[in-house]
Amino acid sequence: MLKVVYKQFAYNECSDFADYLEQMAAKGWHLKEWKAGLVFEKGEPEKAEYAVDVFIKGTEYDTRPEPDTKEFAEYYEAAGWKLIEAKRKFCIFKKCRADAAETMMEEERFEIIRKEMYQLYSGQFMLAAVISLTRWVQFLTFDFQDEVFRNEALIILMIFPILAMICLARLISHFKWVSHCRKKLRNGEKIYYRKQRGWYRWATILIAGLWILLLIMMKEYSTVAILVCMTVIGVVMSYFIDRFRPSQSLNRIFHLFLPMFLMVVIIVFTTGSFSKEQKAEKIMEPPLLLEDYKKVDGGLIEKTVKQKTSILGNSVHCYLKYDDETIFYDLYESEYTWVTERLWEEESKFFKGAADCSESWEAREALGAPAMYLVRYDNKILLIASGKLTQEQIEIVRDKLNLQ
Amino acid sequence: MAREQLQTLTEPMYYILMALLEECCGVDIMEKVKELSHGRVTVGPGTLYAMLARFEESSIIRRVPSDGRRKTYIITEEGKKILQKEYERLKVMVEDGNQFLGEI
Repeated sequence: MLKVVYKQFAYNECSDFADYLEQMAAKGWHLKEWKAGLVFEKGEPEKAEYAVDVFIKGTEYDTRPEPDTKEFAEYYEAAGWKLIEAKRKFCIFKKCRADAAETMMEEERFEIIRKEMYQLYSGQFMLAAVISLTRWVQFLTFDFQDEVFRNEALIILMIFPILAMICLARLISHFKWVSHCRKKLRNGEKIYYRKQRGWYRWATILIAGLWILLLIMMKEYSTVAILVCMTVIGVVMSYFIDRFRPSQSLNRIFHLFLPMFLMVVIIVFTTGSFSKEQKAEKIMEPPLLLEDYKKVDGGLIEKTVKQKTSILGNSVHCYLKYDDETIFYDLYESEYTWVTERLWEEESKFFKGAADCSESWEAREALGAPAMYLVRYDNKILLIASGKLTQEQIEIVRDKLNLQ
Repeated sequence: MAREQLQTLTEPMYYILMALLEECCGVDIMEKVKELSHGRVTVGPGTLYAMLARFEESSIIRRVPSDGRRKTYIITEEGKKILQKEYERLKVMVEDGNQFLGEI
């Protein structure tokens, strides 16, 4: 009779892992193999002794004992320990001789585990910190106009710094643990690597849940679908890798192709949203056409309308190409003064030395450069490139775009 | 392990290097260390494997081509120097101790 238990252990929980296997053996459940879960076989209850060690030459891609692991196991066998299973850098041994020596010196085991956990925690922190930093730099510098009107971008700006803080807290707690263990080693005490009961794992899950919830609340369904799809594909792929246990090299190839596969999924989804956008373009007519305020000889040959909406406001970008003339305009709208202030700051950089024409536009501020205008009302900003406009044309533009 | 860290050897390191003054198969080192230390020092398999890997990385020992499946190692000239230095250090310590403790 077999029993599968889905239990996860980290390298710094190896004493608890060995204890768990011993408890199971005492109940008559003996570890047979480690696939997606730990597979136990029913037998006679036994007072077994297990050692769970971290193999320094192992890799995260190992799903079964590799040649190096087998060589490692020969040393253990000579010392009275039999290799039962190996996965990732974990090696599980069972004592098969009463006089078997201790597998590892305390200092050696501690150094190996410390290094592994440091690499993991610092890697996670660096990743979250780099994403947060690049997104914030992007938001605060060159990409404000685009990011501010995209809810998914705003959520990332909020979520990733929180994740980075959680990872940093975990890294600091790791340093504390290291110093505590070193003290123990100096006093000649043994270290017990118990199950970590920190709040970090739950906090990370909570933040990931919050991310999805916010996206749903803001009706960003396509992003939710991409995230859910990526998670499902990731979970399914890991299950099959664990189930069929490919060799280390094959597993490396899977991990190389998995992100590529996910990229294809993203592209397919994004193309889907592009087509949705194109459909929206067909539905959404430009709020202002050239013929609204000028006599046009030729017809409209190209039209691009992009609308973005976020909790901070919305923007409309229109590009209209006629037979003999092209116009484009960006219309930003936000209730938040700091947003309009920032947009004005960004856009007005290109209007240095431009003439003040706020009177013609009856606007809070308006700048006129040859062929372009930048106009600001209380909660709206218009950037229009359509040649020089007469007062009458300005009135029509204002009326059409509801600029007051 | 940086070579600087190997300037002062721990007890297991000292005996492992001494065992490797002659060609020896990795697995057999555990038994040889026990013999050399008259059963006083025991090196666990995990510790031995990790130390051999680090010694090899620091060129203190090297692998010897062998027909068998098992890996065989021998100490290098660099390793001998470190071992000799450690021996001298221990000897000085014993001589110093002798002046005060030898007669006890």
